[in-house]
Amino acid sequence: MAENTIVLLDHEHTVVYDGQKPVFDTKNKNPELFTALAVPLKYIHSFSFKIANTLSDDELAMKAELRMYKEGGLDVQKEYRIDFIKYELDHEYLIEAFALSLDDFNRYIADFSYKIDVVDFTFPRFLAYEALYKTEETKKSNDLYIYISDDEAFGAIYQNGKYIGHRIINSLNAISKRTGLELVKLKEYLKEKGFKRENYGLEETLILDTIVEVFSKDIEKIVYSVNHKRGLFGLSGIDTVLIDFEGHSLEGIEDFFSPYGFEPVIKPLTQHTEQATPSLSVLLEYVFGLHNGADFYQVNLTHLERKKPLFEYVGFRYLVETLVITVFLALLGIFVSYYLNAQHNKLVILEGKVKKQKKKIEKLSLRFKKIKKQNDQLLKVKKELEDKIFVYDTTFRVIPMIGQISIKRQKMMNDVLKVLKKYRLSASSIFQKDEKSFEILLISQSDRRGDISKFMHDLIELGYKNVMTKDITYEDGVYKSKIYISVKEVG
Amino acid sequence: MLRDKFEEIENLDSRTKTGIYIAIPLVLFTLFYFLFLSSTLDEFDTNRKKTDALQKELNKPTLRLVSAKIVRLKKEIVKNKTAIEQDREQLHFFQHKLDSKSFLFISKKSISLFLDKLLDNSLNKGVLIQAITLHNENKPYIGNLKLKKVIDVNASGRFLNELSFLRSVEKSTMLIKVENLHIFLQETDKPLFSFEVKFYGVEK
Repeated sequence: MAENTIVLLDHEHTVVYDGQKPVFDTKNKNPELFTALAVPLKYIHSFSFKIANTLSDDELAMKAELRMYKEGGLDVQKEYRIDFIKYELDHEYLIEAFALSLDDFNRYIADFSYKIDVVDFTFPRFLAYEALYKTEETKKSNDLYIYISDDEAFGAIYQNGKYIGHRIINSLNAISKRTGLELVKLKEYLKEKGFKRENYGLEETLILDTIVEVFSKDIEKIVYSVNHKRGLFGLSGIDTVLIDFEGHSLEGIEDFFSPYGFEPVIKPLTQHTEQATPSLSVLLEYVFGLHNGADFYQVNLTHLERKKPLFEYVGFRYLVETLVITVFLALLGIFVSYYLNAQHNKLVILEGKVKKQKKKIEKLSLRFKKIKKQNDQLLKVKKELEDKIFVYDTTFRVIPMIGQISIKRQKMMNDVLKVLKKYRLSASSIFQKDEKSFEILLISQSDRRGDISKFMHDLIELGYKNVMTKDITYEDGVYKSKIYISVKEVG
Repeated sequence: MLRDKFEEIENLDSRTKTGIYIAIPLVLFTLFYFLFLSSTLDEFDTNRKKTDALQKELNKPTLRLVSAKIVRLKKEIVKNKTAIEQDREQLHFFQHKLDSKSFLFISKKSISLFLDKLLDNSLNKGVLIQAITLHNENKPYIGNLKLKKVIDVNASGRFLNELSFLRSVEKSTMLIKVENLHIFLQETDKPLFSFEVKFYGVEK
């Protein structure tokens, strides 16, 4: 089934319409399609008021609801569905608000021969005639639609193809009750004879008079409404009166308008789609057009709105957002935990390695200490041995040196004696401490005292570093001089 | 039930709805951060520091150094053992060498032989021995050598004889040293002289 197809609900049947051909059924087989229902005006409360044109649609909706309860006669104990049509005047809006109570709605659909779960669009019938204005040419007309059916009747005023007002009049049932005529008979009179006095026999004059009396009052009310709309919308007059009465006209109805200065063209509403009646065709075209984007006035008073799919709710989106973020965070958490776990494992491995290394180091350190101790002992032994070797070495070096000492001592003695002999000096004492130092107390005549210094000089010449005298005494013509001789220099 | 809640939300004004859209991630992220991420990041940081410290510990050259030291020490031990062996051989050689030098072992017999020789020489050189004093010393000298004994000799004789006598004394095969030689020359009599003979030797 095409998406743009609609279903119109009626008491006995449903009409599925795809813009081409209406299909009738006794059951509501396509609840998924856009479903509409025209509610009789007797169930609908309406109230008009003017308001500043500075308000937004939301604010207007709120105001409309308040005014409907306060001034429109709504029962605060009941639940209503309220909607409105907004007309833009010069500096304000004219709001025509409508309300349908839940009770009335349920009461109306209770008579239907099939179960209704969803009604997408519930509307007053008088709005449907806008669907008849399909060209700009047709819109250049001010029209009055007079709908007459068994249970409902009204006059709907259209200015340039747009609805501007309506007036409820007596339905056929109501007229039947007032005139005492059977409904079937009444319909027959109206369809066949209309309001033409010449169509009625003499015995039917009373019947006609009664019908005319009711009708003239209804037309008066309609004309009153038209005149009221003149002031509001600048309505110039009524060009055409269209009779929506099961495809029939009402002969002689023009006579009701002439007293008010109206001379409209009177036409029956005859256009129909396939086997649908003109009334039904208008409803089908209106709902189909509206569902497919036509810019018609609309008032939706349904109490069985189609529940949106869950995913279209903002709450569902919050849920999805929460879930997506939670999943994302959970994944992030898993990733972070995984990474942390990997890091922890690495840490454990490293700790194991460090522990192992420490043990190894400890073991090696112990081994090192042991080896070091062994080496220290060896070094100690080595040192002791080297010391001993050194002692032996020294001993072996010293032994020949001691052997040489006597030679050195003898040489020193010989040197001293040789120089002593050279200068024929005498000595009173000789002290040779060792091979390095020598003391001699020289004696010389005063005239030969110079030889003492020569003696010393010669010894120096022989290589003795230190030859010196500390005290020289002269006694009895003899010089006594103590000479110190040493191999090394004395500091 | 859920649909009713959704309907309630649907009736909220658009500003509140947008606010909730923004608040949901903020709240979830905040909860996530404070309940999980914050402590996890702390733990991560602590683990990282621990890992760095452990890695640093592992990278320390201690093990390598100790191993290298052990290797070096082992080589040194081998070297030292060889050196000790060589030293022992050398020491053994020195001991043997020292043992072969019999003159280093001062005994009563060797001293009496020395004294006999000294007296013989004094007779031969015309030196009159006036006194001989023997002192036991046993004082460390150099190396293994000790000053074992000291003999003080007082004598008189002609100067040249005295010197000749001294030379004969110094010709001894024993390790001796003549010191503190005093010669007093007198015009009227033969010169007096004294000297010390120091005997060096080793312990047997």
